[in-house]
Amino acid sequence: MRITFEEIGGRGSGKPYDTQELIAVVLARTLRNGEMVGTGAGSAVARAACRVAQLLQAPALNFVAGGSGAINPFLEPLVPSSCDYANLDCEAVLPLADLITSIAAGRLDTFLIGGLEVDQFGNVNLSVLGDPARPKLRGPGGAALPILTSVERTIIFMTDHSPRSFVPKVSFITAPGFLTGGEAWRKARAEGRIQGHGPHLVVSPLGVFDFEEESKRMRLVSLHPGVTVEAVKAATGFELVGPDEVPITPPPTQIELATLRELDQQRILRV
Amino acid sequence: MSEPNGHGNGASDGGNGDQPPRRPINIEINMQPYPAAPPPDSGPAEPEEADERPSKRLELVEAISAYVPSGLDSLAIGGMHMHNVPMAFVREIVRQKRRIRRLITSPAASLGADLLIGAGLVDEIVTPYVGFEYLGLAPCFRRAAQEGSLKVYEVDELTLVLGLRAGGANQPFAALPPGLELSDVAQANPDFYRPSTDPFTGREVLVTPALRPQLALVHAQQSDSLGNLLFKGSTFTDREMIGAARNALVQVEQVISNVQATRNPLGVGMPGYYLKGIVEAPFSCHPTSSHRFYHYDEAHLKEYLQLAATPAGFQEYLEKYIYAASETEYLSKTAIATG
Repeated sequence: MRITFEEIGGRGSGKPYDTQELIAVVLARTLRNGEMVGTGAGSAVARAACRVAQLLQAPALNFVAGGSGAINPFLEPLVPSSCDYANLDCEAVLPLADLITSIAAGRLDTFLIGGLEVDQFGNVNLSVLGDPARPKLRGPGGAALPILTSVERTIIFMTDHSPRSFVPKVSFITAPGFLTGGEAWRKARAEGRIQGHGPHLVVSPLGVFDFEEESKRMRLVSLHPGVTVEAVKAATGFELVGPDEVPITPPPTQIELATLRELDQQRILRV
Repeated sequence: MSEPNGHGNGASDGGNGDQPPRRPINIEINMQPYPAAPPPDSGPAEPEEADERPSKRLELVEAISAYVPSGLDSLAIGGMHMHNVPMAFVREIVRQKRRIRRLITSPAASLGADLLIGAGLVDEIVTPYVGFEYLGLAPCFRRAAQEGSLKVYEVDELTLVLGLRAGGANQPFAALPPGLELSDVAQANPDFYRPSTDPFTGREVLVTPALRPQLALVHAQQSDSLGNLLFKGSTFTDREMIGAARNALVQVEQVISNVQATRNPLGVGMPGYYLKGIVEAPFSCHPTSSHRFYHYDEAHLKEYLQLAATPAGFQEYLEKYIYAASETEYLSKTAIATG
């Protein structure tokens, strides 16, 4: 049960928080007590979300700081690199190979992932744009993304929300989401190819999205403060499922923001 | 059937409550008195012990010229992101212009791979990720892949780890868990993901070939002269790479005495007999970090990314920091010397 305190921000002129801070807080709220959460490369925002969740509503949550293998790092302070020595101020360190094989064995409940592109069925591309043999853009590569079908759920956070990053169909599936939709995904799951329940949420600089139960198409859940439905539609390269009345993402509470900034002393999330 | 110890058929059965029979041990234990502790303030706390075992210490230049022939079949490079990357080894390969047919990276490669690729020394790469994490994409990797001058085999991290473990166990291939076939990473790289049949169930299974690098280059923080390695932070996939490779060389910040290195045997990350050589080279991960010894040099990495954004700028970086400089000269041009 999350305790909410007096809200600040969202009204008036200047926002008292940065977009990355809002994303961290939104991610933190989605994490559940007792689950084991994976984070990856460069995702300071994801690590911060895990620690904020531990401190505020999920004391029994466990998480790992990417390739460092650090379990339950204290993040005092939060640092930008997932493999930094500073992350080893933590409760235990799993050798990386053991961490990676444990993902396939289903030991992670949630994985927070990013990507170059996400499509309407939650497939994520972190590999290439265009023909893989002669790509238009060679991305870094998927790291652990292809094996996350064994994780109970993924939560996708996108640093960019534009028709280039929110596309009808990704040009390359690095992390399989709901494939070509509900029917294909249910078939693959029945065949034992997918153990988890797929993408759970998408958080972008503009809003929060989930996936419609039957079709598994992306659906608008809430708009971040100050963002309009029209702006989201214009920035999305496909038609979103959406209710007529879209709620506003609750802005960070005072306690959420204070907890986050206690970790983020280097102001990584405020650049 | 002979039973050299004459204990009959009970040789391996210890489950009946009896003490398992023991083989006679024919080792002469050469008891020696403990060396007297040095009196306080009488010199170094750890005097160099007299060890008759051959030292594995090598000089950087000779280590690379001996173990990296031009056209080396396959090379694995340890470290991860901007941490524990064996950069002194990488720079020396660039200085000696040794070609690598296949580069195998850790789950996340960065500057090490990008420099070798930019210098035109790599034909193909097997990797789950090449980039600079929050600092951006890898410029030379990206350019070479987009131009088609580098063959990229993208594999996921699990396939890399299982391939290395298979290599270290002399398995021909490793079976992969279901679900990978849904990713285009598997579909686009049939050389590393082949469908086969599980002989136990008859179901389809993807398999990946063993990775058996000709050479692994790794960084550890400390070792003794025999190569007993102490990792002072994350080991990433360094141990798997050493285990899979036919030869392994390790660069270390410090060589310490055998007594110091092995005082806690559980802390030794890899015993020395796995290695062909160790090279003592302080700050040899620069500009990446060496866990617990120094942070990565973010300003230098940013300078690299800025220069390497163009081929001309990349050449400028090579001239300034690598071609015209030994390791000592390299470090003298960086923040380590200039503050």
